[in-house]
Amino acid sequence: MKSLALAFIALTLIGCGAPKSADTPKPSVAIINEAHGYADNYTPDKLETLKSTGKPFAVFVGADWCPGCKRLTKEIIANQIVLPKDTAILTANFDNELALRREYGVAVKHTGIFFDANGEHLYTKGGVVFADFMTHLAKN
Amino acid sequence: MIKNLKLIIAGLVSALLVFQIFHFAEHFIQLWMWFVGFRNMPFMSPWATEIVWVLGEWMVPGEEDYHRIFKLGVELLHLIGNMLFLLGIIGLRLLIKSKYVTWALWFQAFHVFEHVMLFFTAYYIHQAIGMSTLFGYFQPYGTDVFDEVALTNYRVWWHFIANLIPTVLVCMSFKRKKKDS
Repeated sequence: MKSLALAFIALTLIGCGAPKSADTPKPSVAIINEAHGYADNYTPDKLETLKSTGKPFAVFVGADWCPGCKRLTKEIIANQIVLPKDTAILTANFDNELALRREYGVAVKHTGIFFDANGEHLYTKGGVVFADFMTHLAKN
Repeated sequence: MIKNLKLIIAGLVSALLVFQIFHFAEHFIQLWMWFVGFRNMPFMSPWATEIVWVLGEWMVPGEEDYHRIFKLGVELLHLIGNMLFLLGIIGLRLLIKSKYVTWALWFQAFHVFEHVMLFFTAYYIHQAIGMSTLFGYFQPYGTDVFDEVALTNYRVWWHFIANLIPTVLVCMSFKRKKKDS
């Protein structure tokens, strides 16, 4: 019985010494789904990571006070399963992401920023609809 | 017979003027929210927002551009709201012969004309053009000049005042009527 208890304590101590999952570096972007695309919140890190994935992607810039933007954001998140494989749409906040807006010429809310597979900025379009994202991601 | 007709008109006018109380309250809240700091777009109550979506989707079924759906819904809701108030004032004019009602009628007719312009330009050329948008100068899309906050400032105040004037004139006509009787 004693030896069992000692073995249990030993195992517990060994377990304590094992590397914790929190210590392993987390990918800065959600893992690209092999079956379909995904949608995620914008951060500069995620944008940089996506530029090196070799797949086209886009950023939707919407505002939480804009009813149309809220609807399109919902549509993007709800339909990420129909996005082409390995592609991505990041959703960014118009009011907070001033650096992103300045860099890619976003003057109005409800705007899409489109990138090709090499991570190059193609164009910025105001008044985008979900079909714009689908067309871009499928074409490039 | 005439007495019955007058009663019917009075009932309709009352209903339309009660509607105007809610309509004006919406503009009052919008202005209040403007003072509080909601200036990126004119504030709308959740129930008005819901009506806007329903009207917009009814206007352009199958449209994918949420911005267009919402814009058309907004313009149609304003047009309907102001036409109802105009009908109320026309009915009131039949019941009360007062210079205040006449002025309110002219002013509201002018206000409705503005909304006819805004609605049809938004529908046909995708840009609301009228006095309250400085003839399309303050527009998010389609022009080089973009200033959504300026558009909101201008439009919120314009429509609040445009609603305030005929509403006050109608109230003054009631006050005069009460004084006379």
